[in-house]
Amino acid sequence: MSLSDTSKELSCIHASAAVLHNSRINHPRIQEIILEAQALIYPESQNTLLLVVGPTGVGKSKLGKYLVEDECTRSAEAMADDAGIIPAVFIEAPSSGEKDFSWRMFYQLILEQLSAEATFGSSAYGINLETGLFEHPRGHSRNTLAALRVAVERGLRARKTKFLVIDEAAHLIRSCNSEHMRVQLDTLKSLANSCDTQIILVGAYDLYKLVSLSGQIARRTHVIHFQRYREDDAGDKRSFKSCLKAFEKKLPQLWDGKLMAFADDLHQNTLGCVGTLCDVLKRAARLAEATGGWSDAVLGRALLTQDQQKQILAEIYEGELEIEPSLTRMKLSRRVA
Amino acid sequence: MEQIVNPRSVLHALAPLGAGTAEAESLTSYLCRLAVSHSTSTTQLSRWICEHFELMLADDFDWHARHISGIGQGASRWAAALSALTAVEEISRYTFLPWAPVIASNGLAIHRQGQYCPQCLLEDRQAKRTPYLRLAWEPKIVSVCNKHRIPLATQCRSCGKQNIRHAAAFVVPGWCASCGEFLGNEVSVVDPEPWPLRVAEQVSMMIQRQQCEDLQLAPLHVHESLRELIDVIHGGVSSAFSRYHKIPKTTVHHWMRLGGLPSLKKSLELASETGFDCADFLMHRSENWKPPVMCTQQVLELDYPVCRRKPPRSIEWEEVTCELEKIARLPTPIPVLEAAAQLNVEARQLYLHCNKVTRLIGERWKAFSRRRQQAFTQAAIPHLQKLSHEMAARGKTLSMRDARAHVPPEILNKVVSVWNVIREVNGSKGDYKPDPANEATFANS
Repeated sequence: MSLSDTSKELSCIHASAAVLHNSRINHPRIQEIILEAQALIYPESQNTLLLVVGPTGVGKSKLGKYLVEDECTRSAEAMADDAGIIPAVFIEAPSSGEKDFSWRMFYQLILEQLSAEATFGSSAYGINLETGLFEHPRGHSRNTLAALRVAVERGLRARKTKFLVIDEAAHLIRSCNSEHMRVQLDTLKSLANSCDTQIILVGAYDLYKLVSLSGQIARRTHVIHFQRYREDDAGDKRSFKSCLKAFEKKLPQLWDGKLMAFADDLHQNTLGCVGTLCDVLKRAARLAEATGGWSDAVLGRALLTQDQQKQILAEIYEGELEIEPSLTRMKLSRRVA
Repeated sequence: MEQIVNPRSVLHALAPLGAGTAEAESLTSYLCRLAVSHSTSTTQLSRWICEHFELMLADDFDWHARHISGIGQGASRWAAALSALTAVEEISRYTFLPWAPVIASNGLAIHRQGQYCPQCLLEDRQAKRTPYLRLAWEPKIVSVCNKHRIPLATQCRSCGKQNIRHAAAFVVPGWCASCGEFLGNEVSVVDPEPWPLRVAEQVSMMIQRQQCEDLQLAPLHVHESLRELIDVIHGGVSSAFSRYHKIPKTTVHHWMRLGGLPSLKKSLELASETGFDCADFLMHRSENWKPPVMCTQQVLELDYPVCRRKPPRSIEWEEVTCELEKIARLPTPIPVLEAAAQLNVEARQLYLHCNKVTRLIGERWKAFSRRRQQAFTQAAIPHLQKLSHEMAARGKTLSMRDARAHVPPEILNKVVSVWNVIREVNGSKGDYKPDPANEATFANS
């Protein structure tokens, strides 16, 4: 029996819902954001901080991870020559459950990304730039906040990290007044300046408050608005449908070509957020596999509830209302000869 | 074909400083900088490295006692470990390991406390470079900076303490580990001795060579160099080589026959004495070597006649025997030696060839000598007896001093064992009969 005969006997194994788990759709909106972000990441950039804000479920976390992976791909040659380079790092700002943001956990997360196996403790010591003297660490304690900070700075420099993506950056400023927010942001700014590493803060619309803290911060910060696909925009509707089509192609046996019929409903329910759409379709696919097949009811059960939709929409409206006018730039006037 | 991805290094992949030059960094300095980069102590880092490779550690483990920049097993292990963790290739070039096959295993002592050139460190800081410790400062035999020609320092000029370069938990190369002052400073140039300067220069050349070339050395190289020296300069005579360079013959035998290796110090001396660069000597690169002109003693043409060896004598022993018989009949006997001298023959030859007559002459002489001695003694006794009586009258005993003082020397000096005679006189205290001939002598003394 030849190999080709054997292959005919075996039945095809259909793709399961797990295919959607790590899928990434390269839709037009994310392409724009990626281009903008990549154009703004360069050495000695004045924009120390990049804020990527947008509604929940729009795909900000995926964007952050993609930026890191793409940078690693683009730096492949440099990384092949130098095994020490880590061109980009992705971390999620920790929410420790305490009232104040835990910078200690934050620094430890970065250090894990830079040197995962290096589990020795950190001590703050070095040369005092003012006096020129070597300063020993005080006491025998290790892993103090200062020591972790110094370790992170030196680590980012040694690893030649170009940028650091901090997802869920809103945790940094949760339960903070303006003064405290300024302090948090100054800490990040000084970290970026000392290491020559840009920081990309990814988070929800409440992150936008950081821009208005001071003129210095406003100057050194660039905001990238990762918008949803709006229902009242024809171009957005077409783009959303193309996303849906792309998802449909990933599991053709499951959807059986019936997904596109629900394009408008899905657009409305997911509020134009591709991330939310992906979550809805994943749920639907898993429910379909569990129940033995696809049906309208299965899709219905996977959709967001009205309350969920209402809450998310309220936050989106609030955020868009705040951010849209602020992103309006001066129109250039052309002189007519 | 799937591209092989270079895995990320576990530790920071710091680039060693001074690569490709004679001022290459030492592995000791590299480890210290790595600890600074990770914002941890050298102790923590070294222990972590050992635990990472599942090495057993003593309680009093001190990484800086391992001389990781040398040629020993410690250097080999640490170079391999750091290379694995930092992904820096050929990190062993920042030790003396490339020369290990041609230097005796205990032939490169590393300066335990560490030494440094203050001028080099100052220049690093002024040029806004990271100060670092050079590999050329590690060997104990190097005592001078090759670049600045100043003695290497071992103590901090600020606090005066020793052992402050790298033997501490927290180290930043170039700064005192005790007081924190920068170790670099301006030092006035002095004229060092020629030999320390030569050593520093040669070690720098070795480091330059190992930085730029893949050495691939073997003990054979230095053995062939030694063989070439012996053959070309000393005509293949190992003992001459040994004598000239003041190396014990057993040592040379150990090198040439038993595979032993010279120490770095000895290699430097040999190279210097024979016109080699030490690196060329150790690598057996003799293309540019010019053997030194050995100074041979000039032959002087002296005006002396050539000393011809006398032809061997043939002695007529019968004639000698007749002469000896005549001597034996002389009224005054003479000793055998005198008889031999008269006949121009050695006394032992007389005993060998004319035994009877020679012994007769000897016996006559002994008898004559005995009689004469007795006569001399008898002549001295009256003098000694009289003196003894006089001393006894004063309540004293005759002593040698008294005898020398009162008895005429021409009489006393002929007596053998004067003291024995004096004792006999003192012991006997026999009758004394004054001799009128001697009375005047005693009256005058």
